[in-house]
Amino acid sequence: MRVGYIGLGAMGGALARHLIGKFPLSVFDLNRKAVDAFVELGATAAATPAELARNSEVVLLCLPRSSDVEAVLFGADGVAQGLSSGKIVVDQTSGVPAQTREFARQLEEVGVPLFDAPVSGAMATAIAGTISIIASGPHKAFQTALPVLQSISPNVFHCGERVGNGQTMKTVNNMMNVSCRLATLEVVAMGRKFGLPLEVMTEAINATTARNYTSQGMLPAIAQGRKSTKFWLALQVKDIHQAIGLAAEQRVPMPIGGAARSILQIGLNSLGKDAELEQMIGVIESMADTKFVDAATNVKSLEAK
Amino acid sequence: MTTIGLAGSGELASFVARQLAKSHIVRVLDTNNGSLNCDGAEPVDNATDLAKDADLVVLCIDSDEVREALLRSPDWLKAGSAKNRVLIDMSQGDPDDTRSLAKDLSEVGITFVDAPLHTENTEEAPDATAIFFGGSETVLQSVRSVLEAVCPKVIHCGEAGSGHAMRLVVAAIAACNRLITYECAAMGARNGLTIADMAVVLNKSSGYNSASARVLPALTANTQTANVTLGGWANDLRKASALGMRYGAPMLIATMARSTLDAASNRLGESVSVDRLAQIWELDSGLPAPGAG
Repeated sequence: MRVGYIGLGAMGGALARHLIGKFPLSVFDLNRKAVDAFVELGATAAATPAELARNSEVVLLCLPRSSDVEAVLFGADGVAQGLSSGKIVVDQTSGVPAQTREFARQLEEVGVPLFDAPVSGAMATAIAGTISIIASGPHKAFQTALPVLQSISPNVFHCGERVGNGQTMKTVNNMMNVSCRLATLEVVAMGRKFGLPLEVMTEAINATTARNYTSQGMLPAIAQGRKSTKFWLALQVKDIHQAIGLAAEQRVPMPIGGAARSILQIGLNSLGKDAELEQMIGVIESMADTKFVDAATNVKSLEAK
Repeated sequence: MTTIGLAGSGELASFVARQLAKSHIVRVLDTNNGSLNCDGAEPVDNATDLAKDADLVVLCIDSDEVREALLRSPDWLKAGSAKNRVLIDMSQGDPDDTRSLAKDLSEVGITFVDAPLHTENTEEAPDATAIFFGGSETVLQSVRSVLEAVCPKVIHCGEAGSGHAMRLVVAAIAACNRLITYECAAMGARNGLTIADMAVVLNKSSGYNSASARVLPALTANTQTANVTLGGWANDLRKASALGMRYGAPMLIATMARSTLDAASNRLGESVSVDRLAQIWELDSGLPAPGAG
């Protein structure tokens, strides 16, 4: 099966690397350096998205936003110009479900199924090949492209025939992750102000129904003086805006999600557009005027490293 | 065999009494007319009889007023011999009050320590259940076997008051986990996802939390996950919120959780299980109730 991958950024590049050597691979990205790195590994550089589509049976995209997907699919020299009946498009972008459904509708008119398959997990899991891939869309197309997805990670889920459900699921996941992350950090900050040690709080939280992804990953990392995330804060804010938008469209109240969004926005405005999600730890500390780790403890931790 | 006097009320006190009665002689004082049920424990009529000949006295009271009345007038404890003056508070008190009480009681020869229990479902204990101990290491060692008879996971959090503070931290995050799970699942369901799919995918992804792991499968199967009450949770979150205000911690989300729990408790009643919170999101999001087809 000939495969094409468009979008070799931090996440797309990590996902596409797993396809090298397993499928004949064409790649396209506006960043020439990223393309050259793949060519060195054996991939073929396509001059345009249309050329990539002509040379591929399955075309995967991983782009920043749905608006980028629209441009790459339907713009000048876009993917649509190289597609023909029987080919499949897989959108791994954290996109807007309704827009993705519209892209799928347009491609269906020329006999090409499109389904979404965004990923959920840390960059480390993308590199390790264990990231969650959350797909949805026509089952037949999904089954055909499944070997490609399973080469990226064996953790592939299919959430129904409706295109966009995968992106909705990812959005729900992002919202749950962010809300629990901020709730955990702000309450632990309160505990620090009272005088409870971070390590003991981490043990207590993880022993009980208070446990969550943050308590198991970020809290121990803070205590050990290491990073546990690698993600741009601006992209996190974008994801959460999308979640709030989906809730508003269906008139679902999201008071906690709204508060989480506001805290992230405060962080982004304070830190600037180049900030990373990890820096929200400092924002929560400053909001509570406390430190998760005592300065003396931090020195010991760094020395131990 | 150690003789323990337990003054308490509600399901949590009944659970503590049942656990202790497996390996100790237990006398119980029901502080709320029939809400403390324990086969094998000897009921007493008043606090003085409870303390008499007891090696240890334990409080596990779900009424702040009753608990404070017993603690502010501790003459009843003097019915015991000098070596019996260890008082363990397994209720949820205000951490600063506990610090202050421990100091006051120490002046009349009573060692007061806090050891609140966190659980959402006594029927599932000891899973996800822990006791948070506030007091000296020496006292902890002297009462550890008693506490472990209730729950094998005992965490030493610091001096008196630290156990109560830790439980508020845990209770606040646990409540946020659950409220966030309902809120996000409602958004997903209204946008076309099934609860069953969310139960599988979210719990294998970074959205995972203790509530999503228990609540989403239970919503699909129409089963229960908890036997703690909305009123109890709202009370915990009020205390956590007050502590945050006193210490200057903003706690935007946990404070919102406090408001949400108070509103839910007012709508559904204090004595219903926290599982009933699902109804609030079903109603407020326009979702059909589970099993409604």
